[in-house]
Amino acid sequence: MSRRESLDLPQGTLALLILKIVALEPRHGWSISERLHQLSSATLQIKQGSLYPALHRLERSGWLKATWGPSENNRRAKYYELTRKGRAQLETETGAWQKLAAAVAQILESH
Amino acid sequence: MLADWLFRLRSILRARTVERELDEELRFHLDRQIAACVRGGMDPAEAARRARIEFGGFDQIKEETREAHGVQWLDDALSDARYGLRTLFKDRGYTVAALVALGLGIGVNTALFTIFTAVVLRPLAVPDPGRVVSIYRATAKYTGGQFSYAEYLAYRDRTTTFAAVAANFPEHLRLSGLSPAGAVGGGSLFGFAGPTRSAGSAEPLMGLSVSGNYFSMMGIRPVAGRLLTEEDDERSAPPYAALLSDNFWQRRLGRDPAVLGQSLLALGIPITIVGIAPRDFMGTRPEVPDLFLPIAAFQDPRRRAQDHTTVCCAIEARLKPDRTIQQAQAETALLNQAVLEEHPDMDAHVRVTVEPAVPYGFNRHAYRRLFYAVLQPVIALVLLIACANVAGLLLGRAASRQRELAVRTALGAGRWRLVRQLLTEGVVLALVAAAVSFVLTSWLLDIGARAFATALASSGLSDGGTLLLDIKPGSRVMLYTLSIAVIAGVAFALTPALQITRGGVTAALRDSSAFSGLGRSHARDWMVATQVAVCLTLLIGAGVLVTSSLRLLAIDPGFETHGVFNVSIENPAEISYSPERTEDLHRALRERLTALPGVASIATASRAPLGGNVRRTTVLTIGDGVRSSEPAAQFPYTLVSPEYFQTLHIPFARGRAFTAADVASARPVVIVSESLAHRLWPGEDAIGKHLAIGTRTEAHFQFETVPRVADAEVIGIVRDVYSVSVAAPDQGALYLPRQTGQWESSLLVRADGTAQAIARSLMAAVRQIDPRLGVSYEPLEATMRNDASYVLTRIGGLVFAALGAIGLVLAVIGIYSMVGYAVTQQTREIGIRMALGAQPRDVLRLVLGRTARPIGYGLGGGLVLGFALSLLLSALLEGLRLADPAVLAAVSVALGGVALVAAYLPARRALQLAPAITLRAE
Repeated sequence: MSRRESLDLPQGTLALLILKIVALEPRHGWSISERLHQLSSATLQIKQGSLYPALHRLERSGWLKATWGPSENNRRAKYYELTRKGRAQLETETGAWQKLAAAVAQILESH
Repeated sequence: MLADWLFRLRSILRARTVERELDEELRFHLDRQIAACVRGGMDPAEAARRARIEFGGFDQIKEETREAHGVQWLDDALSDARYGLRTLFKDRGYTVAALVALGLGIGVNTALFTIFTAVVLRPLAVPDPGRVVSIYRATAKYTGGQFSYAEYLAYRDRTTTFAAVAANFPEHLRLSGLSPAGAVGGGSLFGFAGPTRSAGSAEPLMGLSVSGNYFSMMGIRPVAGRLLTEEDDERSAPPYAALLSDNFWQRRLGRDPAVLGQSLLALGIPITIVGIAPRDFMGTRPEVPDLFLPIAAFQDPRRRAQDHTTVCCAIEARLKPDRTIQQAQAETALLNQAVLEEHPDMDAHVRVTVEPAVPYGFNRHAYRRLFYAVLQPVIALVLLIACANVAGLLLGRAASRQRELAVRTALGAGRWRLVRQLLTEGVVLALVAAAVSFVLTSWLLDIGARAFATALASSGLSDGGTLLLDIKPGSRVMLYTLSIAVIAGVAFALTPALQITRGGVTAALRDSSAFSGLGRSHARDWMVATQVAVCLTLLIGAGVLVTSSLRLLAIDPGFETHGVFNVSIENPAEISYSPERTEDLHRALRERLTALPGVASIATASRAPLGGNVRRTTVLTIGDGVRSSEPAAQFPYTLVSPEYFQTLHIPFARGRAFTAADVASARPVVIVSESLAHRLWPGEDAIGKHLAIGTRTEAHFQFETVPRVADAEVIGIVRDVYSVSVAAPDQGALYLPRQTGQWESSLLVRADGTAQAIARSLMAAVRQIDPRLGVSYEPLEATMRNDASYVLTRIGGLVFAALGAIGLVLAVIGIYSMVGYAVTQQTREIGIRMALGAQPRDVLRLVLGRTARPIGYGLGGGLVLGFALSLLLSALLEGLRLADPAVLAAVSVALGGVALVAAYLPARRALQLAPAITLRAE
């Protein structure tokens, strides 16, 4: 993989992105990682393995619920889905992020 | 929050599944990634490499994910524990020594706490026991006093705080009418023995007379038949209804249902068995009574309401649901005031206390104090030695652990992580020791309790009843053992853990001799000193108690015990003897027994000296026909036959003994002890002086005749004797002539010959006179040995000696292992010294000198603590003298010697080292 335009993720943002990605449908780890890659147009540089501690921490917090189910290639995979608590958390964090981003942008755009 | 904990719980409980799932999840990811790359046209090997790089370190990710589960600390602890267990298995010699030391320390603690919970903390065996209280009469000196029936009625009828107020009183009964029981006696308990009882006589048993509402107040149910009711306690003529305890029913009658409805005689009073009281029900008594009777059997219901002098009733009451013990205390104080105002002749100094009712009949606070003030510190000391010991062993093992720990430090383990591991190992060791000693202790206690009960039954010391030794350790004890194990584990592992991990990594890796500083460590000296000090304290305690008990036995009690038998014959009034017939029996006994070969003289007395309940009465001096108005103190008195002083060899200072004429005469006479004469008439001749005896309305026990003599002339003065306690001579005693036609329980026989032959002929002679008379006997020396002061010091001495012996074993193990360790540590130093020409003697002095100093400090500390202990003991036990300097010196020298031998044996090894080898060893 080339070293072009890749960005490291600010602390704590990974959880928000994961919540967002599983908000539409339950996904397993690999598909979350792929989706992350696609959606960010390969801008975000995330070591794939580091997804898992985050996923387990989210599961422990009760924001994600994990179930084992058959995958596309008929192997058992662990699917994560958003819980009601997780959805509320996603909304709060999205709001917070947008406010923060707007504030940061406003400062950066000022002269 | 809940989800969080459920998640963590699953990670702990289903650790293996969670681990497998994690593995599967990560592998699935990798495989999908590889598959995706291959599909993109990559070479499979290259795809696998690429996927792994993008994924990151597989095991590291796994570890990070595990950490996200929030149970890492527990995981660490478990693996430390597993590692600790493995180390214990590997190092067996060390483990066994540590387990013995800790097991002893924890076992002693567990045993004592088990007994304490089973006896002192035992609740009353009734529904809602917390609402049942005991009401005691108390003075400044004494609490636990009992009441007259009239007082009982005052509390029962006027209370507003109690739902019910009930009375009970223990009665030493003799039961006849059952199929005959065998002879009892001949055994002993810790060397103590009670009287031997003839077969076939009525059997002594423990009765409890109770008010009609007693069982309904307690709220218990019968095992068979019915309980006693108010009607049973209102009967004014026999037969009275009675209950057997389930314990007696089983032990004596094999639960034979035919006993229900049977008619028996208790102290000659006809009774009918109507039911069986529940198993182990003891109320507040120290033993489970054999028989329950209504109070009416002893006190006529038509007259008892007016009786405010006969002591008849311990009072227990059940609080109303909405009342507190403080309200009850306030109310009973007022009621007591009212009773005292109505009866101005009663002792106005008494207070009334209300306390939670507990079994074993003792004042719970006093025993708690004893436990917390004396026993708990003592056993804590034993545990402390054990911990110091194991800490020493751990330190000794430090050398072999140094490199291992250093390597782990080098690999990145923090100091705290290593300390935590060593502490975990310590706790694991303590838990193993606790588990082993818990099982062993419970087992030994069970065996001990059985052996005690058997010995008690055969020793003749029991007055009947069932001693309840229900000392099975429950969950409370288990929790206690567990917590002291954890505390001990941390305590003994902490010092070595901190010390071992103190050295830096490089120092440890460089070479082990960098740690030879441990050989001179202060911690090690402290441990030796502590062990020696604690051990000496315990041994001094044992020494003080044992010498005191020996001294108590060696006293000259003022009368001659040797060759005298104390024979008890049951009151013939129980088998319907009239006073005339009783007097005939007296004569017959005197004639028949005096005629026996070897018998020198016989006497009767209301009580043998040092045997049985002391009776006391008040006296006033009468001078010039006027009674001194000073309210005199109470003095012990004995009713005796004329031969009493001659039989016991009590010398007269002045005057004469009673004669047969004094017994029959109407002119009252009295004999006083020298101390009483001196106290009543200091500096005067007491002979011919006059006394008024039994001047006040006094509380007394049922069947106890209170002497009431308006004017008795002193005809003799005898030397002082120890008749109340072996701890001190009587402070004034009175002797009155026995009364015609009245039975006195003790028959004292002076005889030459073997005890057995005399006992046999005595029993045979009594049986010839009337086979129904129950007889028991014991040598007067045995009566003296059963004195409370002697028993307490003797048993206390045994306990301290046992603890001291445990302490000694521990201290020896500790000193031996520590000196051995120090020698190993100093091997190089010794080698160099020897190579430079040091003599073996110098080397020995060097090694021993370093250990002798802490031993010396320990001995000094032990002497101070031991002296403090003897102060504490002498405050608690009557007749105990402070530590004798000879005892202190002997015990210290002995202990110091043993300690030095324990140090010498391993030190000798140093001498056998060849210099060349020791130097090469490094």
